[in-house]
Amino acid sequence: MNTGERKPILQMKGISKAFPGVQALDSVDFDLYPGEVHVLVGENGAGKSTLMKILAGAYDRDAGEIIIDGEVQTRWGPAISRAKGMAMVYQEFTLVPYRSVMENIFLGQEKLRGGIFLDRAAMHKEAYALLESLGVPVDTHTPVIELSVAQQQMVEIAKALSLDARILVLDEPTSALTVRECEQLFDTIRRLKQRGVGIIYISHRLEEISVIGDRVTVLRDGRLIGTRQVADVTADEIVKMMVGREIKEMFPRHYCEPGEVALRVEGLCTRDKLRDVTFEVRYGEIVGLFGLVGAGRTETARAIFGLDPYTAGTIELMGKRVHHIDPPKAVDMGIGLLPENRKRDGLFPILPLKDNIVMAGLRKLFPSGILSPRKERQKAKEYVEKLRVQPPDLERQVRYFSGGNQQKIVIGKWLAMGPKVLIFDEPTRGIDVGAKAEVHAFMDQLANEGNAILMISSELPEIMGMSDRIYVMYDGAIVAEFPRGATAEEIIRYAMGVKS
Amino acid sequence: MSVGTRKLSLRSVLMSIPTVVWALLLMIIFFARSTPAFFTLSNALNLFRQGSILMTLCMGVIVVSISGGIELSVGAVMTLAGMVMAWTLVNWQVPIPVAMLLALVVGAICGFLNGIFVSKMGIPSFIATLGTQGMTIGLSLVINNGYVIWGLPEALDRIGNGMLFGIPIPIWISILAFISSFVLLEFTPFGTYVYAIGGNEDALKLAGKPTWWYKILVYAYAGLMSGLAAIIITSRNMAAQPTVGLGMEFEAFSAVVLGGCFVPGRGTVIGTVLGVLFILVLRNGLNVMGIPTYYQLAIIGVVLISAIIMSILVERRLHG
Amino acid sequence: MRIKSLLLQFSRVLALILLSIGITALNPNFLKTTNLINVVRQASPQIIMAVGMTVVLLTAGIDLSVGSVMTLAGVIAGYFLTQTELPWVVGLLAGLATGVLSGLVSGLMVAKVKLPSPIATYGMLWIGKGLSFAIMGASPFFGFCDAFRYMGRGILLGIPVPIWIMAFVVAMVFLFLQYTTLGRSIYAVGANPSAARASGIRVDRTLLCAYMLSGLLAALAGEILCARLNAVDQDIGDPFLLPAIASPVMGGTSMAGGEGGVGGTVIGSLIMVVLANGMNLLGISSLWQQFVIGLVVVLAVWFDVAMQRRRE
Repeated sequence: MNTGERKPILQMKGISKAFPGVQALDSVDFDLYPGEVHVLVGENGAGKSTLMKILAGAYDRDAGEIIIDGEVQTRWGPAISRAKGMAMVYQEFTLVPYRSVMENIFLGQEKLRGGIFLDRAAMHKEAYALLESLGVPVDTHTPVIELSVAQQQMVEIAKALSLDARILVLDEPTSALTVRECEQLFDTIRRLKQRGVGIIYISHRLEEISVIGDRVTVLRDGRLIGTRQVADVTADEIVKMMVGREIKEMFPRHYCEPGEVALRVEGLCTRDKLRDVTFEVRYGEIVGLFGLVGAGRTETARAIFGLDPYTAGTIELMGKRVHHIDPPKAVDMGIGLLPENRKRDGLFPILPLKDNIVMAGLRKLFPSGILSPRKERQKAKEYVEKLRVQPPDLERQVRYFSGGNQQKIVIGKWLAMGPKVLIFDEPTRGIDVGAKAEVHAFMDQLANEGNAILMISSELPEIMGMSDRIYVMYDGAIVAEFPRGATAEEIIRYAMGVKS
Repeated sequence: MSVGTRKLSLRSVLMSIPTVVWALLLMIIFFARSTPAFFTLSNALNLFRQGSILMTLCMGVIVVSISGGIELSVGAVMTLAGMVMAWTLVNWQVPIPVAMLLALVVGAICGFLNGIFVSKMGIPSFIATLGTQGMTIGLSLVINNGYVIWGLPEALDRIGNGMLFGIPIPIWISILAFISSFVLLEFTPFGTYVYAIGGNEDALKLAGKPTWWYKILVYAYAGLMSGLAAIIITSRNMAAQPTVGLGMEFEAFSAVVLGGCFVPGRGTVIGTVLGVLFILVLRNGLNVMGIPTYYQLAIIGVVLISAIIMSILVERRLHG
Repeated sequence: MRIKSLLLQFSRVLALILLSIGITALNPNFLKTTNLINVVRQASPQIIMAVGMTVVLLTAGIDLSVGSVMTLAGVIAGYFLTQTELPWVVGLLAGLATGVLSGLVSGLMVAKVKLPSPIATYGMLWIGKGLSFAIMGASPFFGFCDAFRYMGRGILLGIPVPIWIMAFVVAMVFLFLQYTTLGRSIYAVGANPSAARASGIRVDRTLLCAYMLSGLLAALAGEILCARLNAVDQDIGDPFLLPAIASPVMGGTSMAGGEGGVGGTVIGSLIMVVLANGMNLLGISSLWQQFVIGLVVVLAVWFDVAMQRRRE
């Protein structure tokens, strides 16, 4: 697609945005021409979603300009961005599940007959025409919940079109689609291009970029690394742009000889995501599980721990096969899971610190069922001191602690239960550098004390610095295993779906 | 492939209430078999006339239920509206049309209050309506010191016990209520919004619509229906009792759930009608069979609750 | 933070004191010992029910069936006491067992069938009513033996038996919530059910326990009430539902779960009871009381909701 003569619909110049403690975007430029597919690529945390949220008007920018059709926008917000033709298709759909396709497309902008009554016939006609033009003729009477995910996505796109969207943002649209559905989506995208709609396509799947993209922009650590024509750039170059920093950080990992196999997972499958996941973790080692969005990392952790059901496969703990695992059983057997979403799954925000610490160890610490406040304080104090939680106030409600300290509290909760296998899901997400280092030090210590640690992370430096072995996941399966010392490029390539 | 709306409504109704229909048919057959007096025209007419109150109430409750709320105050609001209507008729000699209008207004105001509690104050709907129930029952008791109000003007009897084209007027009123809710939910954008609020309120908010205001209107509408039901019951009894509405909210709730409204955002007016019929037939059948009232309540309660639980479980199995 | 909650609790006690002073000013009979003891004695069933409701509220649920369980327990006890020749203990225990069973059913509906607690317990409410009607019909059971009536009318060491029972219940539930792992799980499940599950807490077991306890206490309250009245009639438990909700909420137990406790509930109950007694002494018709209670419930929950919102 030659963007030479055309004028861009959208120009974002010098966009910057800072959050407390982190510069999410640093003077990023981005533009979009009508009828082009501009792919936006970057690791987790690179700034892609922040940039899009600013474009959607959900966030305010600290600096920079937004220019639509050559006019600098003096005011910007959700309603204005919609009015100017911006539409985002999220991964969680904004559809009313039991209502028909037509009703969802026209939600809030129904056509009326006689000023009061719904003109269903006209709306159905138009809805159907819209979907047909996208190449997806669906019966517009069908309740949206009966459609496949791919079709629901189409309804979302049709909805955007009915609002005269000229800028369409698709965020990881293919993560839940089959191969055939992907092709259908690409066909729809081509039709949209012909209508002159500009599409911002966020993805980390290398194969797709070359198939559907016209230009690609790479962000890293909030900065614009480069914008290229897809035709002029190779996969390796994209990977290099995504990754190419020196790993400056030092990680406190002191490698030790691992012991027996503590956890063995074979052929694990879940209904929606996992396909034949197989790996093992030994005592004394830290095994890293790396993957990008939609790879299936958290699903794996939750399945092992019993939070979600799995349809096939076996889990062996300390040599014993485990059947029908559920969280209480997992805990009693000595597995701990530090969840990805610590506020929702890891902490009890309104309960005091000491309560949180002993929560997973209630049965172990108080086998008789009687809770001794003295023992509770004693245990809590022990771990608060060990983990250096600040401030060491046992009665303070956990919601008042900083992110880093909250994570330490979650760790303390699991340590107090005396685990043998620990699964860390994104252990250092959203915490400051100092706490990060502390958490890594603890993990190292725990491993060397003989525990088996599975570290799930989407942060490449962390994975490379802390893991003794690295598994890479893509699209619900383990696609590679690397020893310590693998290069960033190798890991990212597999994480992005490149085979061999 | 555009098809008219008729097909969709019927299809979705059929899909969502197979259980009730079969159960209803089974019940009718059972009662018809055991008691000859059941399957007669006069009994049927009786059934519908007695059921007109419940039907009217349900036409309001269904709207609230679809929007995701639980309405426990309809019986009490009906009682209060009836008391006010009777009181003004007896003590202030207002013309009957004015008194009827007053009943509607009282109902709408109570409903509006519910709407404010739920929408603006954020109180969960079951507590809000529970509280309103207590308050309106309290007021009903206060109005005439707990006594029944007698001595209503003769003309009122023509509404409660009169006929129009051979059909009792209460039935006409319930038909009016049915048409009102049916049109509202199926043919107006407001109806779509009610379903949207129940199904995914955020989707509607994102579309820029004032969901808080729609929620208030939903409860006000239910209150209006309660007021309408008050007109029926007061004119039929030719009296206003402060305890008359007790327990009707449970039957209304059951009818709505049986009619297919298992979760917010689902349910239809026609389904609700079938749910009401289920209860009416059950009640009527037990009566005709001569089962003492005490056992009736127990049987009805157990049947309704098991039917509700079964419907929910079946529904979950079908749709996950 | 802690100071804020302490302050709030203090303000509730203050409200109670001020209310009492205000009523005494209008009618000095209020502060007489005989009146106060009478007030607390009459309030004992209500307080016991409120304690049971507190436990359920702590799990972020609600038990709407307590009123009809109260009635049903009285009916069952009354049945054994008046319609059979069995010893009165059988009636007593049967009534309590009824409460536990109904709590079990409610709990199963909430924990296993995953019905929302208002709907599940509302269903239980009507099952209870139906059963009461089926067992007792229109003619109330009355005329219980003295041993049973002791529960409602007896005096031990100068203090009425209901007050003793109430104090015992309050103390036991307090100890349970503070000093057992099950009690701690109740707070955890209410504070954050997904974290509770992810921390290995047996959520289902905890919920069942909470509803069974609520049912048990509602049954106990019903039996005390019937013992005092020496009779049981249909729907005697109905007026007790709203106060049972209002008391814990006013006492600081949030409907959102995870915070509150027995102490606050006692204060909240006393406030409601003093209010009712005050209205009586002031000659305000009891007919208004229904209205006032409904209003109080709405206001108390509104306050709770507003406080929760401010947190976010």
